Amino acid sequence: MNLAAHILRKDLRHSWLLILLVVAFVAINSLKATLWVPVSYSGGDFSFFPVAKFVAVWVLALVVVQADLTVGDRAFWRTRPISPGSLLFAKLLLFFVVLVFPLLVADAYFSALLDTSWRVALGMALEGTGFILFNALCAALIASMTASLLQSALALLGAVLVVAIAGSLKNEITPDLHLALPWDLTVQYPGPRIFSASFYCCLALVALLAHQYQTRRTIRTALLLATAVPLVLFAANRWPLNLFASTPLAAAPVVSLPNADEVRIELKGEPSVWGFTFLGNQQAKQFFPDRVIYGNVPALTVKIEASLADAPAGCFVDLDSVSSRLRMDDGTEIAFPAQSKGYWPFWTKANQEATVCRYLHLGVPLPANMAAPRGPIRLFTLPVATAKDLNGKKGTLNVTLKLQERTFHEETRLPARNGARRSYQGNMWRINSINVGPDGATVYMVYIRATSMLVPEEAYRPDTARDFTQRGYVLFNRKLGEYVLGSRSGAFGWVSSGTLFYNRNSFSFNERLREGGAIVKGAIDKAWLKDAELIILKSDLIGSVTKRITLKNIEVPQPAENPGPAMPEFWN
Amino acid sequence: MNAIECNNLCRSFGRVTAVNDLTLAVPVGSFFALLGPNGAGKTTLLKLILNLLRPDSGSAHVLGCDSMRLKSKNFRRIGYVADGQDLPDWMTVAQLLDYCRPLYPTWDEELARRLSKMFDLPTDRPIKKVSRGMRMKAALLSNLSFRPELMVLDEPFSGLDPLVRDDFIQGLLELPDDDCPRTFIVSSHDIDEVERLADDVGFLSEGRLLIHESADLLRDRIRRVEVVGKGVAALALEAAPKEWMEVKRPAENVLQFVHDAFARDTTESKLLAMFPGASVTARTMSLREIFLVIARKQRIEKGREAA
Repeated sequence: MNLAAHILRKDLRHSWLLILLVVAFVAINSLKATLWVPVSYSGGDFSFFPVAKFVAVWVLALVVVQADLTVGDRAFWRTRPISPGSLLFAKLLLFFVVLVFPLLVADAYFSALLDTSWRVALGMALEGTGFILFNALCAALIASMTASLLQSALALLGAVLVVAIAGSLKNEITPDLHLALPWDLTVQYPGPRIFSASFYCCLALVALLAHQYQTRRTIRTALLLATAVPLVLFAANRWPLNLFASTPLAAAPVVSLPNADEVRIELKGEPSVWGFTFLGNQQAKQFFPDRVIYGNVPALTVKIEASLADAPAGCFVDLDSVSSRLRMDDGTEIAFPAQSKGYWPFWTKANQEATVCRYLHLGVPLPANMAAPRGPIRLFTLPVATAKDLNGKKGTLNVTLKLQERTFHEETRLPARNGARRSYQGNMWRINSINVGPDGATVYMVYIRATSMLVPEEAYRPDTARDFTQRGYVLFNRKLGEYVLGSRSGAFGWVSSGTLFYNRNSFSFNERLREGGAIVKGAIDKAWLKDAELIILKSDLIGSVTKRITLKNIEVPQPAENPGPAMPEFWN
Repeated sequence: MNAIECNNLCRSFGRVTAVNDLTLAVPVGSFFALLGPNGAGKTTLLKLILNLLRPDSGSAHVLGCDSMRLKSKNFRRIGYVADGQDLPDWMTVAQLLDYCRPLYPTWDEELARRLSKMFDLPTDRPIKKVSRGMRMKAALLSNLSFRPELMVLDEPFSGLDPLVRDDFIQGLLELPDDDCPRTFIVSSHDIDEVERLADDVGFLSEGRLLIHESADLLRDRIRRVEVVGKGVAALALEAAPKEWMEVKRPAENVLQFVHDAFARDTTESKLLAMFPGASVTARTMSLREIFLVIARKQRIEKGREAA
């Protein structure tokens, strides 16, 4: 232990600058959710630090391990009274001190800040530290089998190529070589699988490192590594570590919309071209089964105008997905798979606002011209070339719409002032600032959520709910009996940084409404806000319904003769 | 007792045999000079002894321990300075000593201070920024300071100027003469430097140990002989005895050669019997001269085999 501590001090002294950098990246990456500086989602600040942290951890592990080489016959430590075990222990100790310990501190801080349960706190700690340790151990093993950073980089490149080729061979050899994970994640709750595989991987990596340090037989270590991969996968499948979930998540309950018959959709006009897009080569393959397709294929999207008629009172219905099947009279048949879509934006927003107001027992502010709003539904997308082939032919289109009914509940409420914060069960909302202008107020907010793949409950998964279809924001001044509905003004985005999911939004609150829906003159000012609180409502799924539409005797709309610059040939 | 024992040690790199069935014993307390031309296998042999390389066959024992099982505690008694050894270059000399000090229970701080002063080392400069000579002296300092029982030096003088070489040798001589007998094994091209220190000498060529004996005995055994007399002219050089090397006749009545098995009592009388009336002069040779003669002989024999 003393010797390991002595070597650790040497390594800390040697790599102090790199260590400082790594700790800074780890700290910033963990704490950036709480840095209350308004930032743009389009900027590089959200992608830079995770990548920088990842690269820095790898470089640190490589440098630290190669400071005492385990290949070749010239290393200083080999002729000194330093045992391989102590040396390896010192390196692992450094990983703990520099990588794991700061993360544990950060996780403890966030657990306290977000008021998480001990299960989530433990899950976050295991997941966060496990991920970084796994990376460090991978880098350490490569470093222990190579003599320089360049050799390590080449070895890493080789390893990635092997995995990529193996992944491609496992599925099928496609022109775009893709990286396939060596275990099946297409299950509802992959957390334990990932954790189990990672845990056994870490054990195997430590064992391989110990072997390399003790024997310094690089080829034998490489052979053992090749043997360890299937063993690890077997162990992960045979003995999964369900730390927090003894059984996989139950399937989402299938519920029918209680008043499904009342949901009616009215179509207007004929299908028409909505716009041009591209299909990926995998998607386009069904249209050209005999061709080898490279890159993307130019395509067009076909829409139809639709509106929701006679929406049930108090019901907020959202469009979940659209799938369709086109059968031409000559027997040609094309099936378009379901695609998640949330169009009908006017309709959903108006309906949502009405539902929010109903929940709060406020007057419904539904403008007359939005009583029966209409919007486009995307029917299907197909390659331009296919559309041209179908020109002049007629057929039948069967469209399947999956709809969801939602109802609102209050998620939280907090005073409408700068710095107001509310934490509950692993969630935290904070108002960064409120800007008051002549037209109203803009509220800048941060939402942080503790997540862990080891904790299966819905509440601890990343919350990617689309705001304004699934959340409502209301500034409510109870003293004046007035409220203002929020509309998104800033860029919406969400970031999942390790175990922390967070987003930053800004919302505009303009029109003051009195209970009953009457508009109040005058803009929001600081005095108004002083007695106001921000109420955040979230929708829950209470049912779903499938609607089928059949369009007979239709023709595939054709693109304009000259839609713009000619597209390059993407396939042959 | 032997500090180092090698038995039928073999090591190849691909088709090249670096150490070939080598058997060697270095007694405790001796100063053994391992000599040989480039590529003779000196460095490989030392690395095999210290378990830096694995032998293909055979075994080596160091201070009574199988070299393959050398543990960290064994290295508390062994020092190693090599021309190509990695040092933690980012450290200053002072930091290197700080790093090494806790590793050795026998660390002699007073000796370290004395050697550091004698070597005139800049203790506050990173090792990567000091000269090659200083670097070697720093390596030696970090090894001598724990008073090793066995000191292995692989080409320690290579590329060093005479002043530094002198410092280096002085450093070796600085080791305290306490109860513990110390063994040195030095591989070097600089035969003149080791000649004054070496008790035993080994000549290595193509992985084989051609000669291994006491330096004094070697100098006694191999001598440059000159025979002057009328009978010399009659001797055909090709018919010279096999223990004669580099036989030449610079003048009609003068015969010169290196005698491989010179014996003070018998050789001279045998020569006089061969060449009656001739005068015989036998001169001792330096290790350097002996090494050159043996190396040249090896080269000639190799050429003959190839032909």
